[in-house]
Amino acid sequence: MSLYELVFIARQEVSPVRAKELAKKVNDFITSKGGKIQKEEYWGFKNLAYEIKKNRKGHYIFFILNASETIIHELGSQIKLTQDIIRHLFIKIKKKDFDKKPTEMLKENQYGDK
Amino acid sequence: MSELIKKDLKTDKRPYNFKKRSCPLSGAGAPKVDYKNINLLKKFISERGKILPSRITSVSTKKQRELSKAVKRARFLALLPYK
Repeated sequence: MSLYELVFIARQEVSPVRAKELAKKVNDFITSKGGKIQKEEYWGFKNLAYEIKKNRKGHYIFFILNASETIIHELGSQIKLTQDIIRHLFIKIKKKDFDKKPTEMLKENQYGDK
Repeated sequence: MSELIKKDLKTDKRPYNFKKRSCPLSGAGAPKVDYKNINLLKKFISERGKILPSRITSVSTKKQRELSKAVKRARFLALLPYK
């Protein structure tokens, strides 16, 4: 078991409700396999810096997971099959780098999305 | 001849006080370099979206490496532009 960060971007046509459903799917998948969710954040419907598959905007969803390598691999292949997700990134982090405070991205949201 | 000049330079007082610029990302209280902290990363990239060289920003070598990784991650997630 080790800590991973996961960010994924959902398509622009997807409603915020559906985006949260996707987040819940990930949540359920991890917990059903015996992993743990340490943090879950919805960064909002943000402008993309460049087009990805004809999308100019996207829903950003962020997780910190505590799970084994095999579960992460499985989740990765599941995400690849989900058409509503246009991009995702896993990053392994060290335990000492983990803190419970919300990330910088949420602070930005207080001033509204540009 | 050249040795003599060097010697003179050493003994001469410098006309200006050159303050040593320290790295803005290391030391206590410095912000953590992270791909999620976009506002911080934006200070170290040019208008065209290129990463600024450390000789301009005076970022230490170690932090520059971290910075370049963070910027590349942010680019992949379309938080920063490639160009």
